[in-house]
Amino acid sequence: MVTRVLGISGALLLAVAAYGIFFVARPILGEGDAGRILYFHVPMAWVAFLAFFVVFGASIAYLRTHNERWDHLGRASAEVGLIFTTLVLITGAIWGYPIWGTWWSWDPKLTTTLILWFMYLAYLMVRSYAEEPRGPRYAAVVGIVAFADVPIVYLSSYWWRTLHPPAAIGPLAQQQPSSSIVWLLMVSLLAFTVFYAFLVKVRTEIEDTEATFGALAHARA
Amino acid sequence: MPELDKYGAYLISAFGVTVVVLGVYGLYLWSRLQGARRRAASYSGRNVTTAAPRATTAQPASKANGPSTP
Repeated sequence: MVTRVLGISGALLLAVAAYGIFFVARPILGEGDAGRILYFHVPMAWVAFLAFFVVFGASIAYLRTHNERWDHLGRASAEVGLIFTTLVLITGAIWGYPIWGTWWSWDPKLTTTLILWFMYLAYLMVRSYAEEPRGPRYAAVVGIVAFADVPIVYLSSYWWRTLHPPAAIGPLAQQQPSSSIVWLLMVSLLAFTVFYAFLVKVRTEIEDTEATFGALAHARA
Repeated sequence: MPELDKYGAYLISAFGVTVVVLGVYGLYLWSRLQGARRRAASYSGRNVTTAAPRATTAQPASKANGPSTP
């Protein structure tokens, strides 16, 4: 029931955000319509950070309690976070080409984001391929260590000279954008967050169901 | 559809990739969940059948020595 509600509300909110992006938002000065990519590139980056924060919290909880539900939550959130990070890299490249004249640059923000992507890929590989009693424990350690890269990605545009602009919104933003931009960004952020919650709920349910099924089959054998 | 400028193709491409990836991933997870639920339901159904009493020709333990003679 909760899963269905999250799925339907996430899809509806995404549809509202899409309408706002194409029919309400104005082209951003100097970037034309490519600037509208902001309204889904930035929320997806925030949701990826949220996903990795959940992995971090779930990993600590798993190491303390050894309750497999935390392991399932961490694995689910890492997978969904990796999907969002992939989309952030792809949409960033598509946005970068007309504005910077290149699809990719070894700029600190882009490079630290790519490192983040590889770290959570490593998390999922460790979780999948390490033998069962040790796999969740090793993955939890990777989940904690990998999170150190998240603040580095966020702060990289303040610490180093980068092509990538600094945060458009938030306490570190150099100039606050107009209220119409903030409004649409918030709607889009809410939509992607609800959709993230839906994906993690479904992924966690799959893990829980398969674990119960596996335990039953094991007990029967 | 609103009129887009010369950068519109980039916006459409980025948006299209996002919709396709999230849509396909969402559907993939949903179908996996339905499959896992079906398997779990059929497996627990089989277990219930196995645990249910079966018709048997064996005699009850109280009559293990055969029918009593009148």
